Amino acid sequence: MTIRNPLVLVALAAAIFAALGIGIWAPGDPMTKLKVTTGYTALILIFVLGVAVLLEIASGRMDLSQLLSEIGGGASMSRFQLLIFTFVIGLSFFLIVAETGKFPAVPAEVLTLLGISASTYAVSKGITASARTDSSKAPPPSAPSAPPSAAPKGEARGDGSANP
Amino acid sequence: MPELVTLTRVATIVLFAGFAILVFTRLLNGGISLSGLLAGDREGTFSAGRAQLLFFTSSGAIGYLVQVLHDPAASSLPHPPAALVTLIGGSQLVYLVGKAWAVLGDGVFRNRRS
Repeated sequence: MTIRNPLVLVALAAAIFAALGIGIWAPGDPMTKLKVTTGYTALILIFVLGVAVLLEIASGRMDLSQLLSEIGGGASMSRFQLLIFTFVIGLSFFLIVAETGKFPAVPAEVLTLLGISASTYAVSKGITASARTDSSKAPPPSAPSAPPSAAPKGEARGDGSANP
Repeated sequence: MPELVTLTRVATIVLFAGFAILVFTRLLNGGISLSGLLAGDREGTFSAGRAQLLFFTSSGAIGYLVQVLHDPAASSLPHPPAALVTLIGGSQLVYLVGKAWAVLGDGVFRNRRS
């Protein structure tokens, strides 16, 4: 395994130094030290890895151009609405946590909304995929029809069944 | 511990805002293509099913955000009205039925005729 982004190494080094520093020099009993050390280490790791992902996206190495694209081309409405709902619920959750400092309760209606949105995306993907399967099984219109015995054994036929 | 809480808050704001800014900038400058978002499944047509889904999704999302901004110190996420959930569910169902009809309908008729 190779680590291409130097920020990952920086994150690991910073997390180790923070853990050592707090563990040795921070005041308090061992349990408090452990809590603070774990908190700072997790924060440093998650933050630097998140920044690394953002930099990869910004530089274009992590390609988002197909984020909303359908398989056959064009933008996908089901992907777009899932993106909107995810951002709105995520932003709402974050705003409340930032304001109150506590984890808010999530009502069943919000989960239902997210479920509806994600199910629409999944069903839409299924419809598109099944349409592609049908079109790839259909014979080309200009090709002459071959006799049934000429089909190789086990190959799928145009009607969806398989040769015995 | 208070410093850790403050730092976590700042780090989350930076990461979340950074990701949101990147995605929305790409959406606006065409880095993430939105072309064909309202196009029908046949070339050159307009899809009413997609348009109504966009309208209800955007309205519902904006309405929910306004609800959150109205009381950001609440102990739970706001309860969306049951009518909104039904409306968005119905809108998505209409979109899916329309898409299934447009994409799979031709194949079903072709198989019946042959």
